[in-house]
Amino acid sequence: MSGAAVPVESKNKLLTPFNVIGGLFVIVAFGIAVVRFTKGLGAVTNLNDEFPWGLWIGFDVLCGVALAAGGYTIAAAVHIFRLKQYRPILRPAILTGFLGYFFVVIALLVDLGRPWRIVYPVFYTYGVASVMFLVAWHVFLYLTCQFIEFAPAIAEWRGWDVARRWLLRLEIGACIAGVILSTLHQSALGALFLLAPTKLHPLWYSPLLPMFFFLSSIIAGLSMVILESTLSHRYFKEQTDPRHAKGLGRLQLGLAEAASLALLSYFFLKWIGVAHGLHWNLLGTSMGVWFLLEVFGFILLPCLLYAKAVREKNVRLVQFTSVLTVAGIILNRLNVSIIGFRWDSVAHYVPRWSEFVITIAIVMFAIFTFRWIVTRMPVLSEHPDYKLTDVS
Amino acid sequence: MLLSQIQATKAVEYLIAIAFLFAIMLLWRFLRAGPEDKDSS
Amino acid sequence: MRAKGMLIDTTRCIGCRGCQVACKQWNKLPGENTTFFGGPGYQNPARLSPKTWSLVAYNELNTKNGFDWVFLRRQCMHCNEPSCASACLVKALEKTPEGPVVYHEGKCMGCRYCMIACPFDIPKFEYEKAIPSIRKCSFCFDRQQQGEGPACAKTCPTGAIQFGVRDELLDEAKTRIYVEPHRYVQHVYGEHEAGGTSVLYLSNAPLDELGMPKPEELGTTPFPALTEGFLSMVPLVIIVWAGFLGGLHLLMQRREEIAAAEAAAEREIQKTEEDQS
Repeated sequence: MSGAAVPVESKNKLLTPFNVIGGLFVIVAFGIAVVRFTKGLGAVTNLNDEFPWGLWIGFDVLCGVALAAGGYTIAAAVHIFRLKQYRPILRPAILTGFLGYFFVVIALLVDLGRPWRIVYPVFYTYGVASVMFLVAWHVFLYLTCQFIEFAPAIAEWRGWDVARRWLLRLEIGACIAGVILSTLHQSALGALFLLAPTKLHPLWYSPLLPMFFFLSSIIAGLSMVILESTLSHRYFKEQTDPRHAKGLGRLQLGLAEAASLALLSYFFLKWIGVAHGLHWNLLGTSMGVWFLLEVFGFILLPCLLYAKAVREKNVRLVQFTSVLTVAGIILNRLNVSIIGFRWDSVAHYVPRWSEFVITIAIVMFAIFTFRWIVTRMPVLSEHPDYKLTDVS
Repeated sequence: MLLSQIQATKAVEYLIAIAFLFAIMLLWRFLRAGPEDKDSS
Repeated sequence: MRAKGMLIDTTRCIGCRGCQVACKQWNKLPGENTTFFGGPGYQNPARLSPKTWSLVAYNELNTKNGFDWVFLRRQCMHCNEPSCASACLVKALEKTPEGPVVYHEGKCMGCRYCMIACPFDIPKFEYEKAIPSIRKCSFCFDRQQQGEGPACAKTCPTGAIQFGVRDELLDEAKTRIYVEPHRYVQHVYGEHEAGGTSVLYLSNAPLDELGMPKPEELGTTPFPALTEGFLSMVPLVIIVWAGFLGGLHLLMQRREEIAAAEAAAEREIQKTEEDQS
């Protein structure tokens, strides 16, 4: 009954409530996708000329990329800052990162008007003045980096020794490239909105937007890793190395410490943004109150909770706070892309049910994929034949 | 913008930045203090 | 190359909508189902759309000359340095030296970032099509290439729409204001807005009261400048980050090697001591 070191293919019941509901969402989503591709975006979304970007961009893309940031943060911690103690959560973090970006691309394929042209900015026509061009290239390159960083797990699963050795040699390069790429595209997603000064609410519009997005991506990454490791240890007990299970709390406390510092920095940076734009008078408006809620309830509060948890070595509190923080990141991305965007519009955009179904289906599919992989490949524990030697 | 307004902006921004330096120092010390190596739950 | 422009003098416009019809006719655009009082006043269709690239907006308000109708023809402003063109990651929107901002259907991915970027909300997306494009006024680029002016300017019976070299039209606009100051608001909209646009407006009411964005909100710097700062930092970030991270990695690696060597030396000494004892 003690957790095996080798990943076991769990012969769980296929028809768990989770699987059934998730499966239903995926099936309905396929139907919606068919309608979308035959009848156009207007048939399945509430997007319009005032709101060309909706839930799929605001949540699937913006939140997806932010929450997948654990890949580069933990990789940097292990490979560059040599914090070896985080090794056990490295592979799950990279996997989350890789799947996160992969499913962002899937979401884009649904949202784009002509998705088959998604490779145009890479292979055909180059709008180099565009921040979006940067984002496209970086997602393309970063997916490659994440894949290289994760591929050793696939090689171990399949027993491909030579491939594994070569991949491990590439690891440090891929890791550094990944950090550089992430810095740039996380901030670039914020920079996208620099072109909309007349449309984004002044409390969110700022020349500091790229910094906001970059810093909050670190926070998002750390918190998602805490959240993902919490859930993995609960639902993938069989696959988890029992030594890792015992040490997880300590690792999560370490991540919480870093997150607390990052959150404090983010909090103050937000206020510098307000000061820079001289928008103090807007704090009394309803959008101002909403802004205060985001800043105090979802940035300062998690900062203090993480700090309290670290001080008291309270892992439960860390895990709770990670959920609060992730919610805050999602709130921020939605505020920038949908809620604060054209906040004064007469008929504000609200996503249609079909948009929610597609989004939920993509998330479920990502979870299913994550589960499939960790129940087969050495992600939550080491392969007995391949000890994690410190290559690089 | 009036010159006084410009100066006001810069002053407030610097004040916030300085306040940040204090705050992050306090937080760091708060995080690093406390009882050593208890069993984590 | 002296870029072309359009001067639209709303005080000459009688709201005949000939420009709307001419635009539809030249570009073979379908009509739309419209409803009376569908938009502000008699405006029909209610707003610009993928099928309506030129629209006379009807406004009844207090002007310099009392309470009156003002007919404001809306279409793409063909900005000097367009936000949409800088936003487009595949160069599907492009500013030509001749003046028009043209759309290349063969490149467009349908990402709709241009719609986010345009402060005048001009690019319209074909949400109802399976294979959608962005649609907007082309400044009759094809006609201009044949030495003709845009269809709307040619049709306009009162000369409210004039086509010509932008600089000359700007002079003309300022002359009109000078000669008849009571007739116009003392401002040529489009001269400096968002860095200047090919389309210039004269009016007897401020254009932001007619539905256009406020000049103060648009500013006078071209919108592409807003992202230039960020983009110019990219090579710097790559170099500095690569140097820093690579350096840090090597430093930490060296430290580990030294520590490992010291540990090995320690063991050697201990082993020798054990052997001796």
